[in-house]
Amino acid sequence: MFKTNYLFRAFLVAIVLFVFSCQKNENKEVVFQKEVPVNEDATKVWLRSNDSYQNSKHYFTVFYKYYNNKIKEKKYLEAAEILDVISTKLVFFYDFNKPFLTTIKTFDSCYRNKVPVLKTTFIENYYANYYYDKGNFKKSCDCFKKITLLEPNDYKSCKKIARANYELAYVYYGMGRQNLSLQANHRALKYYTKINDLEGLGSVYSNYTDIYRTMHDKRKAIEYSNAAIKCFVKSKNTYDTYMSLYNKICTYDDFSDVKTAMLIDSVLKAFNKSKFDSAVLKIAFSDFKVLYLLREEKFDVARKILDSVQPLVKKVNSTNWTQDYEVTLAEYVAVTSPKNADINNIKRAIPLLKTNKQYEKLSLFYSVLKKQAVHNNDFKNALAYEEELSNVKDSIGNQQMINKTAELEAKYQIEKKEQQIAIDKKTIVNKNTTIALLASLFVGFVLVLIIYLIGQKQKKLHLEKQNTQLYTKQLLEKTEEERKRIASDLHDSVSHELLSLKNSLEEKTQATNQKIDEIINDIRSISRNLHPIMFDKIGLKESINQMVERAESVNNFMVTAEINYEKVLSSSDELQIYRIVQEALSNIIKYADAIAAKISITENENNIIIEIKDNGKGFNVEETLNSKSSFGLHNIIERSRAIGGHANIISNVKGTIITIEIKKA
Amino acid sequence: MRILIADDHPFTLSGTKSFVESYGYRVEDTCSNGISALNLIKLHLPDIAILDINMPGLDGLDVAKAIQESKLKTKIILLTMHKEMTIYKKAKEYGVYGYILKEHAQTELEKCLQQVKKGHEYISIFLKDDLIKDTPNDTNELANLTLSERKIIELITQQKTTKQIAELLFLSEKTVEGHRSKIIDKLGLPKEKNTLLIWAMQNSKK
Repeated sequence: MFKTNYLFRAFLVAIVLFVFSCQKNENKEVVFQKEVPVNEDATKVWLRSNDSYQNSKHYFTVFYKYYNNKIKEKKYLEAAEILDVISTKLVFFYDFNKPFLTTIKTFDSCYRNKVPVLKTTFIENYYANYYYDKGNFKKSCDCFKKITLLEPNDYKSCKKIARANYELAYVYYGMGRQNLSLQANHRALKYYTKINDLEGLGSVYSNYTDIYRTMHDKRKAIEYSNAAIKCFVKSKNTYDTYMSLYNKICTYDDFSDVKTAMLIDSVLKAFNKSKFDSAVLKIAFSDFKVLYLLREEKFDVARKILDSVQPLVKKVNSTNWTQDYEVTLAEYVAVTSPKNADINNIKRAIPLLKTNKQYEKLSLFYSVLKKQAVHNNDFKNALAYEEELSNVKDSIGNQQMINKTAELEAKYQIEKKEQQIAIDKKTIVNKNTTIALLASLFVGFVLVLIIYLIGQKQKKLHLEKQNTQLYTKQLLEKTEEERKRIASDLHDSVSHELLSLKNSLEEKTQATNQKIDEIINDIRSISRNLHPIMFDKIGLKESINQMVERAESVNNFMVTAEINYEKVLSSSDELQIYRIVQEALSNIIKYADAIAAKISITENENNIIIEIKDNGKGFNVEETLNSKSSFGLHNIIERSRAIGGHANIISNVKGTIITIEIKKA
Repeated sequence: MRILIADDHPFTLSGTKSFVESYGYRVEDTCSNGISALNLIKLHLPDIAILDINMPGLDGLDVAKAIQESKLKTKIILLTMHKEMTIYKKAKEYGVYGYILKEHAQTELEKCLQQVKKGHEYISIFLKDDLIKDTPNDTNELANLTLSERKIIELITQQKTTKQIAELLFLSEKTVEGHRSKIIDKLGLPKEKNTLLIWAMQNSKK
């Protein structure tokens, strides 16, 4: 008992531990929680705000003072922290000024190792963004990659890894390496999901939009675009919401969707209404609007917008957005006054267009340039431009071709898959049918086999039955033959001999004579009982009448015979009937206790009916048939059968009726 | 008178022959089977032929039948062991004149021959003996009645109606009525309503 108690306790403990560990595991799976930041000092808070950066002239002064102090005080962690904050802001505002860059560089070389790794990722981040802005995509990638090598131990690290992957994806996309971009994006998605960062997820979805756009997968591009918008709306990030809307517009425009113009208008309307202050967004939306206005030939309105946006472009001073503006402007110029165009704009725009493979714009610009050159009789350049133009046209053609091919390829794949499915379905159906067929064949075969075997058995049984019947008949006939023989021997030979003996006796006394007579009579009796005298000659009717008379006189029992029968059956069959009647009558006399009996034989058209009835006490037919002492009854039944007839015995307290029906051949 | 004898038993044959001859008749021929019997009869055309029934070849009845069919004048006497009336009846069908039992041949043969010679039929008186075995030890009156009549009286004693009697004995009512009148006749009773009943009651008390 002691042992089982101990075991039981151990078992309980094991269960509890198990449950706890499970819970622990759960915790590991789920999200890292964002930590609440500790109270920061006022300067840091001030430096953090966008407002300070955008509007204060002293921003950098304050920063450098703060930063240098921290370095002096050897508070390297805090220095790193402030650098992190500032660098993030500058990246956001596309501010890659040289002094700051130098600061970063210095910190990287001198103080980096004094700070935990997690706190120094901002360095790689800044560099990466800087290289990207300058168009050095490869270097940008390398920097981002470094960040992704962090250990994902907690919320912060996961977020940094996610962000780095996201940025990496974006760069790859810019480089045209869609597959790598997708891979990086998947990783970013994974980590953002882990920390449940809505904004991160939103940015990842935006990336997907871009990638799928380039891969000409319109459906997926728009799907992810909407997903991104949703995320940003949820996280209440206005800037990114609008950015993702801008992304959506780009997507629609890229696929030349008819709803693009509408989308631009609605977004612009909402943006203006919200009065959200973002120069970049303003530039982005305005550029698009201008493009569409140009198509509608609303040149004045377009000019107006272009003019209003120009200062913003200067202010933002981002290569990316400046170029975007330039292209738009160039297009305006190209469309409105190609001859007098300020071709410098256009020329500046061309490299960007080439990078972005905006061939339509390129063709427009080249044609403008060409016209100008022709106009200026600058045939060398005109020719050069013409060549470029035809190249571009080829590219356009190629592009269209590629698009078409991609479309058809997708269609083909789908159709192929559908066909395959259909074929597979058919195959399955066929297989099923075959199986069903085989199964049913098998079943059918088994059934046939069973039926055949049963048939065989039936045949065998039938044959056996026939044989038995034949044997019975033969047995009966043989018996009769024997009895007849014995009877006649007795009667003819023995009686005769006795008679002769009687006659030849010397001393004849009355007694002897009488004795011999008696013996002769006895023998006659025995013989008669064995076999009815001269049955063949006498016939059934007379023989039965004789039998009846004898029964009456011997037993003092009244029997009526009514026989309407003339010789129809064979002698041996008639003899069987005689025997049946004999047996029945004998039974009545012995057991029935009846007052009278009647025997009738009736010959009809189709059959012969033999009836033996009495008004005795009756008996239980079934019981008697199944008991041991039923030889007589069975005799009747079997004899009937042997002559091709059927016996029926009915008995109750009022009497018994035995009916035998023999069908005439 | 010429006589033919046929019997398959040599003893019986010789015995019968000597008997017949002792009565002063001439035995034309003898044989021991039915076929030769028929042939000899056809040949000799005897006045009388004494035949055994059980013979090889044709039996006595067959010979008699053949003779009848051939319309020969020979009269047949059957000398046999068979006491059964049925056989006699059959023999009668074939126009047999005499029927004698072998065991009583010594006593009856002479008379039979005489009768048949005159052209009469002769049946052994012992023939009917066979049938009556049980002699009821009742009154003589009952002894005259047949079995059915006796049975009817039994049932009358039990006060059964004619209908009931008919049912019980598997007879028709008409038949029963007929028997009743016969009984009344035999017993010499007055033809009144319940005479039988009264008589039966009286006699059953014994």
